[in-house]
Amino acid sequence: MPDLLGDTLAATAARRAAVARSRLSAFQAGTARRYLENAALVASLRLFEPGAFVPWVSYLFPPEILASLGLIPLIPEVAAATLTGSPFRNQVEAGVNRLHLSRDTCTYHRAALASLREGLLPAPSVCLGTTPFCLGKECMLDTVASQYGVPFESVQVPWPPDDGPAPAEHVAEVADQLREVHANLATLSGKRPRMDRTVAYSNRATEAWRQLTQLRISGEVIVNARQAFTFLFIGQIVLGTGAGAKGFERLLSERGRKDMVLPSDNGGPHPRLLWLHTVPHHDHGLFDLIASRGGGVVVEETINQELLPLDPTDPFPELARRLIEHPLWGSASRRARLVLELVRSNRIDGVIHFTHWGCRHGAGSLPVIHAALSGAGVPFLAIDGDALDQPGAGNGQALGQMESFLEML
Amino acid sequence: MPMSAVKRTAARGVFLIGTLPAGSRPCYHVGAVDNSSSQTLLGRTLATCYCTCNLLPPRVYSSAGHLARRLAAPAAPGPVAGPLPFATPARILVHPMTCPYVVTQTAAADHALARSIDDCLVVPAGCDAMRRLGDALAARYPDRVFALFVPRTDDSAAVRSLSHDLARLEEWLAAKAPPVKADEQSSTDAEATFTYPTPPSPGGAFIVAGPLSDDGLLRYIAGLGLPISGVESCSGPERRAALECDAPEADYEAQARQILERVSCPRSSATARREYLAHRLEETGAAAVIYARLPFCDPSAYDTFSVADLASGRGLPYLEVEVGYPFEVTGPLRVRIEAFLESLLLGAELSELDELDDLDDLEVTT
Repeated sequence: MPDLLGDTLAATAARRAAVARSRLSAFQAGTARRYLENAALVASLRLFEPGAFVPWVSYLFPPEILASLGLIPLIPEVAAATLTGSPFRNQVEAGVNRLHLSRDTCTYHRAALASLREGLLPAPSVCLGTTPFCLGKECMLDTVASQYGVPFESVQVPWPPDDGPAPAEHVAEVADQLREVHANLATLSGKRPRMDRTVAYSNRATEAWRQLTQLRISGEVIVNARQAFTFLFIGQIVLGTGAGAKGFERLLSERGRKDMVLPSDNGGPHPRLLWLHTVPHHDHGLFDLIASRGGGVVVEETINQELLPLDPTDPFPELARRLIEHPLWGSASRRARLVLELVRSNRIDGVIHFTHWGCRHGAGSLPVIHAALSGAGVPFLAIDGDALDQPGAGNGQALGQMESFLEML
Repeated sequence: MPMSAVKRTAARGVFLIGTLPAGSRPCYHVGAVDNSSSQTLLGRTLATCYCTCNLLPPRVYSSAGHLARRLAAPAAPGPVAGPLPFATPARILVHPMTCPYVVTQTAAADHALARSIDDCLVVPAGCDAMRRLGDALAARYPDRVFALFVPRTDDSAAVRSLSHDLARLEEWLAAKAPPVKADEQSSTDAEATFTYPTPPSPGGAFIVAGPLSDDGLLRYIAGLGLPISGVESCSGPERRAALECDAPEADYEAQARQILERVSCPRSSATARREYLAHRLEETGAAAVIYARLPFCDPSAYDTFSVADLASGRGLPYLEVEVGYPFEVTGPLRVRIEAFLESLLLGAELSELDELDDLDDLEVTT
């Protein structure tokens, strides 16, 4: 396999070839998703250039803080999902097998660590965590920071109340931490902050996303939630950049969202399903089965996140509120309550929880979600799986479960 | 939830949801849990405040009119017979990919809370699984479970976060029971720690672990002829001292700082923990390191990186084994530990041979 790291001729050529392929694909498709995937890839490949400042960050770390400094985040989970879906997969798998880390840990994290060890990912300049959601990710980022002798900073985010908005003092406390991290990053990277420009780009993107969400909730547009989930990951890389703003705004045109819209004739798909937690990135078997039965995953759990515009003079309180009030943070009872709200507001026929291998956060909240949905008479299926499995890898049992569930619905 | 995805296990009061991954062992051993109920002190009945792990000092739970108790470590698993001891059995759902410590604590807490409506539970949420245990029990027993997040680091934001939660906890406990005067306070048994079966000595094994139910592993290794040089476990002998908190009662920030500065838990900050473990390895003069890890425990999994590296840097033989909770010497564990000890013995004998100038010096004994 070609080397992506370094300043050798081969590595530079490999990076340029990857960008050219992605750009062509984005141009041909003309959709927001392809455009943003290309933007994210182009940005991320800059991390592989010699001397690049590489922040390894939590998947919930506010991207605007990095974008304001012109920094590109390396999100281990996104990197793991990307590499395992690329021709580098075999190398990642070999690295995972060599890794001295228990196999019962999250595969996103094992794959990212293995990729780092195998030289498939650039070494960190700094590691930035957030207490939401999982401790495994914090342990991994901290371990990486300790091994590479770089700073590790973690934003302490209090749990939100089970009901109602985050208390003002919590928002202020987290906002202070974000301000401090932003200032520290500026010192570490030697870059000048441009928060005003970043906020403008971020607000354009989130406004487009908010409008699409309104169309989805009103039923005017039925979106394949599997595809919508992709925006969650990509957004963490491009939010706050010009390309991110342009890409998200493409969602407002029919052409821009054509690869994620489900047919709405005869009332749209039936059953209408709500997907909880992460998705299998490479194995589309479950989604194909749902589509073949006329159903559709029409809502993802994170649609519930309220994105208010950032204040250009002080964006930190809103960034803090987003972190605290994230639909997946807080108690399992809060999560169950938000899920029930989604079921009711989106006329959902059934709920599926994809319990990713090694995710204690997901697996641990199942009892409460199960009880809440059972109590409300909402059909619920919990599927165990590995989000990074390759197509067809041992999914027979999950397919069997899904088939029974769809028959029942 | 389709019935096909729910399977009843031999556990008492515990269901496993979902499917068990290939090659992994279901963790459903829940022995008889002996949690005492409320006790009388100077004519007053004290409600019990149970806690699930040793992250916080017991005085945090006991200072507000409660008797602080750790949920008892269950006895080693045995055949399950007779009626289930739980008031309403089989109500808590636990995913099979959950660490056995959390599984047993879930069942024990369910049992304890079902027995007396005055008792409550505090869950120091040191890891995701423990935090979700708190969620499940809070949903089952409204307003009787208090979960609080315990940060991994001791920076100012982390200290502030914990001190807020300690204040909230104190308030919550005080609202449940009137405060007890200092001279009325009963002693607590909230630290579930074990002691060394024999005094530790240099040149032996240093054991690193998460929670261990008892000293069984130490006794087993010592029984095979290798002394124990030291133990680093949150239920180990040194943990009792680490749980002492001399910060003033009303000074939550000082308490929080003291709690977070102690890194004798695998979930602690990687750099601080590494320094601490390096110090402990030095002071104990260990000749080998054994990491006894609970399955499905993320903090321990990442902790093994540091420990393996520390051992390798000092040229110490290192072994990582997976143990259950409660601890039992299983066949695979026996094989791995015995093989490791044999290799140590062989290594020692070979190095003795290396020290000989001439093979003629070797005394042949028959």
